[in-house]
Amino acid sequence: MPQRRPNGPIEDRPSPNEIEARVVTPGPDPRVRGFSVEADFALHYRFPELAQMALTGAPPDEAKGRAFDIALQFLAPVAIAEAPTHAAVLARLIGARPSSIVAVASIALAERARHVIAQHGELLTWLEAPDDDPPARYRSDAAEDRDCLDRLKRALASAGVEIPALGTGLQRWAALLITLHFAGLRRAEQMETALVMSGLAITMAEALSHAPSDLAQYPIDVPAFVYEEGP
Amino acid sequence: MNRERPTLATRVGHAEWGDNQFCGHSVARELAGSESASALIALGIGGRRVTDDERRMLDDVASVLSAADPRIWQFKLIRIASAYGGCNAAVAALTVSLEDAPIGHHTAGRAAEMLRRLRDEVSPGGVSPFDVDDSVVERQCRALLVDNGRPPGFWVPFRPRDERVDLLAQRVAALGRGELPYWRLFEKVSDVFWRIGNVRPNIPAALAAVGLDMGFSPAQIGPLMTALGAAGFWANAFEGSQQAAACLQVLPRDNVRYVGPAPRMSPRAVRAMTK
Repeated sequence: MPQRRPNGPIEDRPSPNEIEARVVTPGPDPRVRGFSVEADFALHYRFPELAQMALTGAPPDEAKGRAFDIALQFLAPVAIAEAPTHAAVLARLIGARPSSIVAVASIALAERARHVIAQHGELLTWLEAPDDDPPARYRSDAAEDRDCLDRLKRALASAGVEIPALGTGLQRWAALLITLHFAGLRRAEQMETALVMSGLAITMAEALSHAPSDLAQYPIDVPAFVYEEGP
Repeated sequence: MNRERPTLATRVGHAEWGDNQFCGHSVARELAGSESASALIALGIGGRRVTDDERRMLDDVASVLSAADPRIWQFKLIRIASAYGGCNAAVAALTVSLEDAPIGHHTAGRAAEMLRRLRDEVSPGGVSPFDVDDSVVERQCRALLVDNGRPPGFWVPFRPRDERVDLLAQRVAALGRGELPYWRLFEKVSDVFWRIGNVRPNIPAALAAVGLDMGFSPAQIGPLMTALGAAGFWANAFEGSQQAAACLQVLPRDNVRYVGPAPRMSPRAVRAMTK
């Protein structure tokens, strides 16, 4: 029998015996924020609306639900040129197991989400009381932003949704964050979660489309690194 | 169209025929057989080879940080993440969690920022902080307590003082580094925080002083101390992955208490029922 060590600060300090579940009930027929997933939400809501309710605390109305769904679809494609998918593909190429590729993709998507949200702090502040035009740094005259905004408005209109704050002349990211805000996501941490959630499936699809250990096809020197010696 | 190809500068490494360069040094001719693991981490993050004295200090830091009880919050996180049998994923989970968190070795970076700012504030123009009146230091410390409640790297949970700080102080003294400026400032500030706020230093504050006295920047000190403390990460991740404990995969029901909203029906379910 191993000898028992004397008590330390953890044994000698009282601590709770239970962890608090605040959103999901443990056990069968789980409820999320009080709503049964299997007997209620699965019958009356789509999956994005379940996620939306979990994040915001309230079941979305039709307009918010459709807006969230459309925003997630616009956010979903993350091309291999972007770091999350590039990293996930590289994990695949070095032979990582699928769960590790999911972990890599999730970390990189989360880092990207944090970066994007941090760059849009002024926009999120403006959205709390949008009594004027959005901050100038989020406006754009670029054709690709204009086209994206047109497509977003068209998709929203087809679902009967109009978001006044979208206006005109917005950058792509700003337009999508405004849509998430309309859908009820008010805090940066909620938006970061939505960005990761939206991107994971397609990022994984790109990674899994590559053959494991197929390193010969990978452009190892792109972009080029230049080694510099000395301080 | 001929676009210029982007390039990235690196001082970290270069693969060569028969050898590798690491941070300006040949692995075969200069590093292998000469450097300790701690010194290599310091070289990788700080960009310079440390002296023999500094190497001993860094090795002592790694030893002092070997507090790894799996019930401590960050190690518990590793045990939970490793409960399905994965070792590396658990280390990754904790490493990601520590960045910018107010708990854990990475806090040493923020504590270093605070110590450096304090030094600049109490001794503008290069005056030694030990030549200024104690009341000046106290005024700055009071402001930090008001601003932060718990200044970065300070406050000791569960016990009256952090035994690792006391052990590190012994090692700092044994290596003749107790009179270096940031260690002295750390000791002075620790006395003041205890006197005016009943707040004791936790290990990150002491690590910050050690790192600053070696010339590392606050941005370097966070990852450096995280890496030097990694023995406890790996020990817990390995044992946890080998155990793959069912009671961590799913906690016993008796240990979970639901406190969320009571059962209710969604608006659409209510509408469907009343149709």
